[in-house]
Amino acid sequence: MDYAAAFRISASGMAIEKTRLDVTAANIANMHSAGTSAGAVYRPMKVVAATVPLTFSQQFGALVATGGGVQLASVEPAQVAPRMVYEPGHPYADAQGMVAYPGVDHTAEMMNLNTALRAYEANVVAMNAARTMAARTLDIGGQS
Amino acid sequence: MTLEAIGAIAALPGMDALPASVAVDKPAAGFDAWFAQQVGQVDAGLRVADNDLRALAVGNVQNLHEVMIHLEEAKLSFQLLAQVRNRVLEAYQEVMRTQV
Amino acid sequence: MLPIIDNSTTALLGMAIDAAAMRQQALAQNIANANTPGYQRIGVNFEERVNALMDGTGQVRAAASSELASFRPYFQIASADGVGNDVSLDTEVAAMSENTLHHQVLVKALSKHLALIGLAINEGKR
Repeated sequence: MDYAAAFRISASGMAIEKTRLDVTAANIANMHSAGTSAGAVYRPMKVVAATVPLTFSQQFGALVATGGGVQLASVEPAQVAPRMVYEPGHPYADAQGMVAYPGVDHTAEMMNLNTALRAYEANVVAMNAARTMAARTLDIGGQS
Repeated sequence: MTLEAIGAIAALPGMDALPASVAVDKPAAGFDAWFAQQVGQVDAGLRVADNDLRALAVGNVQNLHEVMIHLEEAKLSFQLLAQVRNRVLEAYQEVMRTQV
Repeated sequence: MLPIIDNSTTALLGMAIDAAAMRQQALAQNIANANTPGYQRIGVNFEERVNALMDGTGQVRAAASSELASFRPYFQIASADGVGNDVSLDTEVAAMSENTLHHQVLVKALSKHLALIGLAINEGKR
């Protein structure tokens, strides 16, 4: 068994969840940053992931894992309409007194945070399991 | 010169009738039969352990504790059999080394 | 191993350990792609097929190595088409801990089995 492949798969999963966490933190931090106009306001970003297919190849009669895991396809802005708030005294207010705030959905971002955290923990469990299995395999024939 | 003294032995009375040879008691049950029976039992135990292992590989893990116990029993009984065999061989070799 | 020692139990145990290792990688792949849209869950097919080796009385018959080769484990797509990403983290993590335990059991069993053969070879001496 190729233990390097198992670690690589879990490591890529952890990296993606870490990126998701960073993006969510950036969205939450910019929740109240008003934009100069409706077109120039901060747009909440989202992480798009793509699968790296797991294949097994025959090498010297044994199965060797190649590929596997997940990779970051892109971090792109979500097409959400900005939140318009009536604040006539604001320096960025437009002709009608509306100020554009980013359309960040607080609840959705907190759920994203939770999802990323749980998935990260699950990837850690997977990596620990792979390490335990590798350590136990060394015990074949060790003692009776 | 003749050895009349040797001829005198034939004159002794009762030389022709030697006492019947003492009957040697056979052991109650043959050791070889007992040993063969033990070998059969150890073999049966090993077969049971082997079958349990294969059932485990197939994915039937209901009686994991029984599998481990059977394995350990088979190993211990085989060790006992091997030690008995070693002792018997040692005893035989010791006897063979006896100076006549 | 030498033909005089070789038996199908060691080969079968080896394949079962292979299946456990492959299952760990399949589960790790599922967990890493838990939030990827359109991902299809993968699994390992081994135990379902190898039941064919059992005969009616619950005994697993000894098979020749050529026959055993057809029972090698392989990956398969475990989710239905068109369902989308149906990876449930709890299920995958629970399956992973069960698989880790099963792998440990198999490794221990293989150790004991080889130790028994070693006993026979060493005539009971260490």
